[in-house]
Amino acid sequence: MYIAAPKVSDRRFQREYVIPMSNDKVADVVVVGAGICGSLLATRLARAGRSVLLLESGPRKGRGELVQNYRESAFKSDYMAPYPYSEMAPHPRFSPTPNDYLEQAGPHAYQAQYIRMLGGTSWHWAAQMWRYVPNDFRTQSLYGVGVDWPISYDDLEDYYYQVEVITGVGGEPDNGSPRTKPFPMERVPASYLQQRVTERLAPEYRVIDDATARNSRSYGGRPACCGNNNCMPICPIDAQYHGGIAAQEAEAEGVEIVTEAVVYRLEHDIQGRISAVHYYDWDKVSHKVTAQTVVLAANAIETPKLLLMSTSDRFENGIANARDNVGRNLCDHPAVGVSFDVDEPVWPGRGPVSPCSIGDFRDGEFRAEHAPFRLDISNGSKVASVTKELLAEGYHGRALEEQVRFRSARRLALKNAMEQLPDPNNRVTLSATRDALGLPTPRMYWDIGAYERRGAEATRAHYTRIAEMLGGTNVKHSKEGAFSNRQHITGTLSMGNDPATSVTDAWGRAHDHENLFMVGTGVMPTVGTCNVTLTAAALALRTADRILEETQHG
Amino acid sequence: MVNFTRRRVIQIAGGFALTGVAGRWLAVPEAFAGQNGVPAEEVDDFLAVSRKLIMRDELDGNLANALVHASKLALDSFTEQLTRLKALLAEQPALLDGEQLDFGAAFAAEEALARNVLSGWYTGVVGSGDQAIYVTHINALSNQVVADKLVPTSFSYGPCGSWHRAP
Repeated sequence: MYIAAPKVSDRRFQREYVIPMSNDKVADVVVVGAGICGSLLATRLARAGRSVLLLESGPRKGRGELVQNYRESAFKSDYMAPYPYSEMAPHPRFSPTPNDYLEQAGPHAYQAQYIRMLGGTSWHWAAQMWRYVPNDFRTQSLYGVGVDWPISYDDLEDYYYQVEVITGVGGEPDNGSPRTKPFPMERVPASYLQQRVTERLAPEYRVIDDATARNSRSYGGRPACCGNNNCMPICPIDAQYHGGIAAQEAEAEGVEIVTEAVVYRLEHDIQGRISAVHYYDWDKVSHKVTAQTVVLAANAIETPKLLLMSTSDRFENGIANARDNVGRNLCDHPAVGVSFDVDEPVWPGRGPVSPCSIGDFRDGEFRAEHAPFRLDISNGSKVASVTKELLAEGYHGRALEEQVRFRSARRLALKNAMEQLPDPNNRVTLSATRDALGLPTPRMYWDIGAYERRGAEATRAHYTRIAEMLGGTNVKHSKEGAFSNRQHITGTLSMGNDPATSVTDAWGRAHDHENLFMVGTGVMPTVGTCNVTLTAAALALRTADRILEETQHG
Repeated sequence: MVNFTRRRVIQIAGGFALTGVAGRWLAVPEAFAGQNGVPAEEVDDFLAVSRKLIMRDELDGNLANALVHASKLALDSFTEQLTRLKALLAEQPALLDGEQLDFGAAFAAEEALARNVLSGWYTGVVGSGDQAIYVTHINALSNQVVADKLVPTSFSYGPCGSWHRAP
């Protein structure tokens, strides 16, 4: 049975004449999820005069506390460890012991590391802000694989730039993604490691600066990077942009933010419009929000979860799920890696953790045969990991210290960002487990197809060649047949022109719900070969503009 | 006698980790020494064993004190094992002749403690899993070993681009 919405269509009337119950809130737009996408969208809407309510399931924490948590953590290699955890808004947790929040139902574990907290998951990232390459939007037409997007690179180009300006992106301009304007930020100087690797791999491989939202000068009231080598799990000085900054900016622009607000149900009217959003506070007191427009920005796992939870007689499989597409087509970058000891000291650990990569294999006719990929070269300090390795090998005394120096100076690690094709069997559903608020937890099914396995083979061949060129010893490939996810969760809310095969339209609007929009990486139908935040943020601003356009006379 | 909790050990250790300049050895504040109920003799035993395992004469006594306190919380029968390990190394110093520990099956427990002692000094963490206790970050010996080239993670190298030059 659906619940009829209040028969109020004029937001001014709502504001002036509808007196909400004490628990109720009214806004022009309610945004669910205060990560980078939700916050950027909220800021734009508020700046245009809309009243915006931003609901965040997690708590509000400051950078200083998080940095202290990192420094005092016994699990420094766990990027989730510094972040607050609550049973009221659980997220995946891995140390000291995994909480198994994500039920694993597929042949490969999908270990997403997202944060439910004001600012969201981009608190722990390397500020990678890549544009797709133009052909990423048309892989079906060009190569007969994947799906075409309902929009093109050209549709996004200006939005890419807008986000680059907001976040302060710099990098190598000749990276396969055409630009009409230069990067707004000068690139961060290369580390010694990057210089040596670049020189020794040229011209066979072209190592380029990554596109990153990292300050090389003061920008946006934040300082230049000073090389703390701690971009993940947290930059101690906010030299890189992240969702926490975006949320602060939203609040400064007049957005009302409510944290510890766990949305558990969307209510619709007879036309299928979303008439109310219900959330629990952490005391499990229920609150109701009515708004002209509803935007879901709760990440590519939690948003499908909310949609699937919001069932009614009319939408018995959940909101936006009349054709059983919600949560399907989960894509990520199924990664394989390699590490080895270079034949000269390069000292990873000086400067940003992920400064450069090889982009020679992002596009080409080969995409008809195997997955394309980019090769990320890590500059993260290896001191902790090689020390643990040596202690496990039983080293002690002077030999231990000599080896710590030797391996810390030479250890190089690479990981690929390889495109995974959309597969409807890879999906998010609801598990039978309930959290502390009685809400279902996500259930994941993730498999890797032949296309990606062939891409992994091609990747390994390059790893072997690169190790050879750098005089590598102690070469260790990641386990054959094993793939890790890169936290680039896409596809579960795919946009498309055909409602039979997609969840949202080209603007991120749910096909069957006129006033329901979704932003975030979930709306991206393909994952490409780069980190996905810039594209998701650009799409979020595009959605914001659409909402403004449609509601300007509201 | 003050009997610090696990959390208090963490707070103490965090305190000195946070008070200094990156990359520099910071002495554990002496004010904490002797305040956690760890007998001085036990710290002396720990230091004696540690000097043999690490092959350094100079080890920070206050950090040793914190490591002992954390070890007593995180490791079963730590005190008894420490006594046995000290005796074993005194009786069979040749066990440390090789570069890698291999005490044999008869002394597996002593070898396990030796590895834990080394791990505490070099990683700044004692124990593992649910029993893991953070003791220090920048004073971990692994960071000290490379301090002429690298600063501990989360601390600064200086002005933007100062990492451009050869270390």
